[in-house]
Amino acid sequence: MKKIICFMLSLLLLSGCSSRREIDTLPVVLGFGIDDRDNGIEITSQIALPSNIVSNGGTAQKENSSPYVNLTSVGDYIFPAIHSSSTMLGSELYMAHNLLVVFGQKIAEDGLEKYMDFFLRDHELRMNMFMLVTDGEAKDILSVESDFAILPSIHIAKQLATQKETSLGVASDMFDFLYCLSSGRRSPLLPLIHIIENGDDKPTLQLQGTAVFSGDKMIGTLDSYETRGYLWATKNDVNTVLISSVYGEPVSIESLNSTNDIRFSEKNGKIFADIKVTTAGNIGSIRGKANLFSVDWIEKLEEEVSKNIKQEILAAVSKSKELKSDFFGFEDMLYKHNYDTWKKYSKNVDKIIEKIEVNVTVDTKILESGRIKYTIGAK
Amino acid sequence: MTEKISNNDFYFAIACFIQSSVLITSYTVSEIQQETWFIAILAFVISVFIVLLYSWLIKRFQGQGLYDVLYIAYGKIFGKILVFSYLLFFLLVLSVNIRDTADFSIVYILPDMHLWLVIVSFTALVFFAVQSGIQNLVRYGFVFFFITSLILLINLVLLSERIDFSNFLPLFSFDFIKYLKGTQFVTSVSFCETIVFLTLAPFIEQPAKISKTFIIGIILGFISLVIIVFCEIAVLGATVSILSTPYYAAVRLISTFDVFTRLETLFSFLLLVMKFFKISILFFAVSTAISKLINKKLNLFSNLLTAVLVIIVSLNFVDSNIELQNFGGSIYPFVLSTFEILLPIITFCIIKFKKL
Repeated sequence: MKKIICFMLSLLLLSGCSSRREIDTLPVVLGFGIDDRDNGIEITSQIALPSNIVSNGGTAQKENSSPYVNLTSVGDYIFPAIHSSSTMLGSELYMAHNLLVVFGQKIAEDGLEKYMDFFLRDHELRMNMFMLVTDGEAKDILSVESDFAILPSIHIAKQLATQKETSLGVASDMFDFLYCLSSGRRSPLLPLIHIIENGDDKPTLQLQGTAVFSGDKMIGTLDSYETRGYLWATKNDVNTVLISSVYGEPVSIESLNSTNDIRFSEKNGKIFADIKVTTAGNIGSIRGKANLFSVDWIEKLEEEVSKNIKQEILAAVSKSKELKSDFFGFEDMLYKHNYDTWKKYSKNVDKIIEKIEVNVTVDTKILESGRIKYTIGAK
Repeated sequence: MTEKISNNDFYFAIACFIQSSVLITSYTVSEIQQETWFIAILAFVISVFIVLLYSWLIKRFQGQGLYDVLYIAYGKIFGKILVFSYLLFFLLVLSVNIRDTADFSIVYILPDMHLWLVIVSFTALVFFAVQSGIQNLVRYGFVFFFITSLILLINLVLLSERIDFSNFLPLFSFDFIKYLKGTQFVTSVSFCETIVFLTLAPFIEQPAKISKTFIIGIILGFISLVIIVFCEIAVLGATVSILSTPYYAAVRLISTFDVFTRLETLFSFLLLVMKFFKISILFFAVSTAISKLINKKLNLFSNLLTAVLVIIVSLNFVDSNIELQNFGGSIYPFVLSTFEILLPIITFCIIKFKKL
């Protein structure tokens, strides 16, 4: 009896992997692009072709033929369009390693929620994939090759990771975007990516500026300074380069670390948000005849840097009010830290951002002057 | 002579059983979100009193299991009806757990596999485990508990870069009724399913020390629940309200130095192992109920009958995972509360009243 049971079970359990997917034939998707078309949406899937990538001393290199293929398909909705790509390819797309999704501006203005649903629901995809918006075509973005990475998607993902480290701009993943939509108290931001034409040379990709959303719809943009203003107020350790002018002489400051604190108070039917930023930095370069040993000069520099940071923050706040988009997350902070005030205003006001008055205080400390004590012309 | 289970093995088994229940906490955390930790504490405090009641029953009727106590308290006819009711109850809990595990396997691990094949294979595995002696399996609770705790701690450390403490705010912002429902859910689903251990009571080495054993067991389980809920809230924030498996989703976000990634594989492994442990204990409870009803010792027949019943019920009692989720969030907690809290309290009152 036992032998018969064992035999029957082995038939069931040891029959091999009927649904196996071999790695060399797996169409691994590393990036998606979504563009608006008259007859629906166009999905571009960037699929890596491992057989066209050779390994040279541990480094992956391109063979003569392309290491990837961009597959496009059109459909009314995202899921049928991706299915259509699989049919075209003759194999189901493998999306577990997808790095990013690029949305065309028209798609972003139309609202991203209906597209995100697929990316969140599918069991292969992860929430830490980057999201970007382009003012051109997402399909073109995924076709711009770089000498620094073997695939365009990998290159963009590297740029975004660096952007996240250096605070040059926002680098949102799908989880960040989902958080904003789920809470309903914070408007999302996504990085903007552009193609830069270089005459006869190959075009390159540049991350510059930020797409501003209200809910899931893109409603405007922030330039680089406004983006940095947002980062000063909301993120710690903004690592960036600032140019300030002391007595007419431009000085470059490398900000090493920064902290921020936002406190709320309520008076006469208005909510006051006091943003306090503290930053420390080193002098990167000076043009002119500065005397670094003068207390007055250093204090003036610190004052100027503080003024510049404050201007950037206020520019971003002004854009937030103009677009009625609470991308700073004031309402979310109010909900978490001043729940009673939030409850009072959320019932009566459509957008709490309109009721918020922002005060900014910046405290800057210059720490190091570098390896030279004077400027070249000062002695 | 029947092989005994030491009290140490017994509390690790209880902790392990609770761990397997709390690995998926989507219902509570999606409803109470940032305050699930508070619900967890409330549920734990209530559960301490309930497991003390279970312990009292074990101590009062040393060497007897749950079904024997029911016969003693309610007499032969009502006792039989209640044993049959508990059989149906444990069969339901068993089927829900097998179906849940099979659905998880199909969605995340084996997408092209047939549901029936996963359920049959899993049931076969559990059948052999119980057939080989439940005492042997209970002894492995210690190993399973430490593996699970280690993985939970590793995940906690690797998720630390995504932790945002402000996600725990504001405090006490929900209606009273939500706290009540949440507490009832966590008490009955996470902690009081341990009533199944009353069927193992005859094997306990020192029944006189069972209160301490039960309390240590649920404290260890509670610590695991707190770690899981902490990760879910601190990492996922408001997004927990829409995710079906929040802890799994949080673990999928781990990407430390681009080296420690895809750790959900460990979680899937863990879930299968822990569910195997839990399902085996429940399987034993159903099989014991069958043998009590037919007045026979636990044998191959009752185990085989349990296996067949489980396969049939888990394949047919809901049509889809969506139905299972709806059932889990609506009627299920009330069924659990009836058998885990209400009936034991009534039994206690009857025993006291009859001075048994």
